[in-house]
Amino acid sequence: MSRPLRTLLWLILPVLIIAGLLRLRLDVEVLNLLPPDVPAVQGLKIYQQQFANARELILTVRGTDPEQTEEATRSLAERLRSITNDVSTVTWQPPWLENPAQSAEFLAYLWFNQPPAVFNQLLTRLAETNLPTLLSTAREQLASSMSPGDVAQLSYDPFGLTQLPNELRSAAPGFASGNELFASADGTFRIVFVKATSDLNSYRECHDWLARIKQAEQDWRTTENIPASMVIHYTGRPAFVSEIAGGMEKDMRESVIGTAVIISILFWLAHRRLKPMLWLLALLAGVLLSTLAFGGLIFGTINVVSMGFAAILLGLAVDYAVVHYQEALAHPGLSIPEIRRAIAPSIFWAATTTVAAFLVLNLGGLPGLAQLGSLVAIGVAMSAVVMIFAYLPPLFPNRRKAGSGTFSRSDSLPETQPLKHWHRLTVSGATAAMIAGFGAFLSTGLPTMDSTSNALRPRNSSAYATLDEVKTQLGQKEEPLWVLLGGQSELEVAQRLQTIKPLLENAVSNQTVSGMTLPDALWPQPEHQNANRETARTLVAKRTLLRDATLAEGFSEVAFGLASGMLDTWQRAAATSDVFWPTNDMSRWVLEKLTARNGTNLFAVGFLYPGQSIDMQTNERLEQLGAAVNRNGIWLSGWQLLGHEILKSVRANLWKLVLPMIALILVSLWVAFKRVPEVLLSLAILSLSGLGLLTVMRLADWSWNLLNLMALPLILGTGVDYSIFMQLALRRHHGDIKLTHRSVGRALFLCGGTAIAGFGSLAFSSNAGMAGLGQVCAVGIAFNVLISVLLLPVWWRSFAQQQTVSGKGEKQPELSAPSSLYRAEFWRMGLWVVRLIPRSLCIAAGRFFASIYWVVARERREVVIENLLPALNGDRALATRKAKALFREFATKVVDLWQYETGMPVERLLGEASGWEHYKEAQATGRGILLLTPHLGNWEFGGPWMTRQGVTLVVITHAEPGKKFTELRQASRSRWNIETVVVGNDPFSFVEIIKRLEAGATVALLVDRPSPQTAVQVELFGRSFDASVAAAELARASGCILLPVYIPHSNKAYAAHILPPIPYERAALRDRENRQKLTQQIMRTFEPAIRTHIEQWFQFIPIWPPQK
Amino acid sequence: MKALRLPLSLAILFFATFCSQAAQTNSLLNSWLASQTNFQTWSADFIQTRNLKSLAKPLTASGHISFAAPNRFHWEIKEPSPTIALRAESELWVIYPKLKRAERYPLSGSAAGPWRDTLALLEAGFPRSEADIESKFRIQSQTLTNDLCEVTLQPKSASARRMMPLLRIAFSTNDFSLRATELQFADGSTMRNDFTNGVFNPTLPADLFSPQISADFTITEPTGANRR
Repeated sequence: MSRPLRTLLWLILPVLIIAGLLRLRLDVEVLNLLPPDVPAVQGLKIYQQQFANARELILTVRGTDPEQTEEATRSLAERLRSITNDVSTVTWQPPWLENPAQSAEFLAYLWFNQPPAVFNQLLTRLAETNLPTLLSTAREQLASSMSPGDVAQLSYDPFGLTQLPNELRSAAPGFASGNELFASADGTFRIVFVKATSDLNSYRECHDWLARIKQAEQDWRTTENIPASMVIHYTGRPAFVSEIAGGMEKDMRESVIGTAVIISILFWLAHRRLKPMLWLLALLAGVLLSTLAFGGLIFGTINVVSMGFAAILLGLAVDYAVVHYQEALAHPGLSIPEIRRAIAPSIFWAATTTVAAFLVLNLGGLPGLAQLGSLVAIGVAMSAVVMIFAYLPPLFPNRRKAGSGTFSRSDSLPETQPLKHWHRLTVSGATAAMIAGFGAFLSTGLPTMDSTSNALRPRNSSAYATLDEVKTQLGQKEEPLWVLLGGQSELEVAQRLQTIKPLLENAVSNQTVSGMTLPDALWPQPEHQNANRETARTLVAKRTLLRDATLAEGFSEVAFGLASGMLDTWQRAAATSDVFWPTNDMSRWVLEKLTARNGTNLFAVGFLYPGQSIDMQTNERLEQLGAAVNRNGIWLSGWQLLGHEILKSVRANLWKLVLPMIALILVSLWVAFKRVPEVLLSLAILSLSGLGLLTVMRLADWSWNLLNLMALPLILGTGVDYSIFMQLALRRHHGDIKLTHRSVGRALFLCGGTAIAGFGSLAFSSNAGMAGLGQVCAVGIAFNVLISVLLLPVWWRSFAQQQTVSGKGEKQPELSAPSSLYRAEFWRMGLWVVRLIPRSLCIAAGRFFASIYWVVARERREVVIENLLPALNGDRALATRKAKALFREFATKVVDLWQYETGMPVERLLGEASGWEHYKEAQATGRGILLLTPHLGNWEFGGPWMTRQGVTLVVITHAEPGKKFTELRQASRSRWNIETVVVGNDPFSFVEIIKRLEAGATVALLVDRPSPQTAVQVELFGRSFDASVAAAELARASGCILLPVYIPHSNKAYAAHILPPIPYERAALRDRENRQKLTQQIMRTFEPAIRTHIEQWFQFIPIWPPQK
Repeated sequence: MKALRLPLSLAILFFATFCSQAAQTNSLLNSWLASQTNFQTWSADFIQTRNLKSLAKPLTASGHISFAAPNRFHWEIKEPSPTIALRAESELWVIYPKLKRAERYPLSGSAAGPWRDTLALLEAGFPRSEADIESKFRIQSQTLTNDLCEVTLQPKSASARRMMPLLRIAFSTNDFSLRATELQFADGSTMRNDFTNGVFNPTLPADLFSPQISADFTITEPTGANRR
């Protein structure tokens, strides 16, 4: 990375982090963790958002004496009402009892909402001729009724306006009923609804508001001398939010601090060094903070459960640092870049696998899981980069410069000792015992799947316990299911209510549910209201008549109060053409329980009573009902349904998670090892570890749930990590188990220990799901680390070592061939990509991939550095820098080459030129011209460049890897009118070229990467070098002019430089030695150009023969 | 000091008289309560006066009451509209003969809740012991006028108090017969029963406390219908 770019990055990074942290918001809604397309989730969300009043707190008051409890509740309500800054309303008894006058509006609304025929019956009842009888009957009843309730009601309702049609009776507020909504049967338990003055949007707002209410309660206790036996509890959304988010914050804090402390202790015990420990903690804190910031930038809002990523991240990030540090201690002779070269690939592959495994969680259909996966992926990627580049340098300042050390164990260690018999026997026995033990135990059954939504609930939650107590005390023996109906108008919802009603009645009659309540009687009926407006006007017009009749029958003015209030309401309703909704506090209180309105949508909720706990059979029937009910704008929902539905969704999406994850693991392992035995050993670790985890789960009676399923990718990720670390270390140390244990093994124990401690600490989380996640992770990782460190080395020595040792010899031929990425499939993909994406973006992406390749392909990188060293007088640091630049230049070159080969215009890329006069002079002789070029710059651009000058070029190439690839490239050149002659093992191919040259053609030839048949040894930059003698041979055979050319990338274009012709005496070339001399002369001609553009000398295979 | 002597003497005399009267009424109340155990049945005629806020004039009704210890009763309003309230063993019946309608209210368990206050109203005049009265009421005041002792009680239950803040019982100091009960409602309305022709331990027909309902009556159970 160039210095300006690095500076820019360092400037931008803090800005991004601050912006991310400022944008970061915490979401405490557990429903947002769940798949949004599941009807139960949709329904619950609608219920939570629209019906569960976000501002409403529920206080419970429990005493020993009903009188005292009632008095205390009344007094507390009055105290809370006095905090007008924080509290808008306090409801501790039915509003119609507290303000009976307000019930007039609601009663009037219910009548107004009736079918016109019913409303007209009321009109008839109140006809002038009927009034005397009606009122005298009421008077008679008042004189003889034995019921105080009836007396009270008739006193204020002599017209019988409260006598609603049957289906409405339960909806209407009773004059003496409703206390059962607020108090237990024995009166010692009461509830109070407290509504905040403002929206409590954030967790902090909820927490602070609740704290103020609790303080008010304490003050009230002190001033009113309330005994301790009067117990107050809190529930409702503000209490839940405060508790859940507060609990998670506490969990996070304790988990992060706990993990950090454990990391410190273990690190200290292992190394007894303060500086590396503190530096590690500082980097971990930085990574955590940065990840949170990037999470804030990307997501804006992060669910508190997703915040559990922190524990996962710390557990993984520490691995990368510790492995590095341990390696540095184990190899004191190596410089940091060398240690990095050795370790970075394992960290890179381990991190890549983990990142990918967590990113796969995005496919699972659970948004919370996806977010957690993404956060871990960001954090792990960042950790890997930070730990690779930032951890060691400050700790070993004198080892920063690249040295010439290698990992060759023969330099420092005695020959690998043969594996001791007892060691092999112990490990074999342990392995067999584990397989047999786990298998035998699991044959009795696997851990079950918890299909309830309990994992989403906080443990030991005061708010939940209080809610449960409310349900118990107020006689709600069963949790109802909800039928939610939405629409954009009252009419739409009303129609849906009518549609759904027969279905639900049928469900009751066939005993799918035991009962139901629909708000159809309460919901505004626009058609009825429109039709009733005239009747309402007629009734309003009778106000005086009704009043006079009341007084005439001996009633006082008081008796007309209710009728008067209702007439006022009808007057208002008749005056508007909109749908009429009652508006006073009492009406709103009633309607808010069953209806909801926001800016654009309206909702109604009905209740279904399952009648029994939901077992599989009931669930099937409910599923069928759900299938019938759930449709556009109607949702059957409820917490009992949630678990089953989520599980169904998870099962349906499982393959989307499992298949990519398996593929990913296999790909990662293959790319890391490229050897079947080692891949199989890694899979064996994962399998054995999985069996161990299942056994422990079964023994401890744990079950899988929605949250601890998240542990799977993590356990797989760490299993893959540890197996890669160990096996690559075993390779580096040629199977020396002792040395491997001393370096990576020790590090893995430390990493595993910290991860286990970190996750173990989650077991104490306030959230049941997070606790389960912590437990499962801790056990899974424990198995991974134990098996990887204790068993794997012996397995590896037994099954994989021989191949690897011989593999050392195979490495060279592998590197002598072009990279496996140089193949027709990738080339075609590149040609396709450059057609779609602008060049600048392609180059940026290409350079990014080149940087990754630089990190990943350690051996290829080493080859390039070695290739450049002689030209740079052996300066390894310079060679490394130039090699790194070469990788990036190569990306630019390939992108431009692809553009050229697709036939896209490349005129703008053809820059300055020099030496054209040499070509013209050569051309004037009428002899053939052989353009000679090394693999410097973009030599293929010689084609279009010559074409632009009106010259038809013939290019001599070797065959590409694969016939199709050769044909593909031939076809590409022919688009530019360039002919390709492929020279291979066919000796006659040169005859054709000689003929062309003799005919005066211009032919291009690469001289610095000969086939074995045409190679002669010359000297280049003072080292022996195999160059192609083909140029000398062709000169001898055809007498062509040899023109050296090179086309480097410079000033954003490709400059063509033609050097003066290389003189030779044709006759002398009959002698092989002279041909070699001529070849030497050709190569020497290129030395200055190669030195100048060394970062464009694209040699990716070893070019220097071994020195004797 | 002399100037103070007369008022002080008067005050002491007044206090002594008050104390003496309070002690006397307490004693009378205790005697009345004690007399309650002396009878197993009682019957009387009554005139019920309902002075309701919603009515310009009071309403009166007349009828007959029969009571059998410990808690059975038969109230029958004869004028203006016949109504019978009858407490059987575990249920309460309200019968409207003119309307051919009867309502049944179970009195066991939570079903008794809605009618608790009505029962308190109907049973108020028949406490069986001091403990019985103290369990339900606080004694607010007691007055003695000639041979009539009037005790004002306040229900202890808040729900009863919400509906009926005060209740008065008047009994004769001569024979300790119940002379009147008056219920005061939250809105200030009152319902007074004045009893005459009271008879202690009359022989009451065996079926008096069983509902006699003709086949053509409509029977409803208002508290049991479709409640969840």
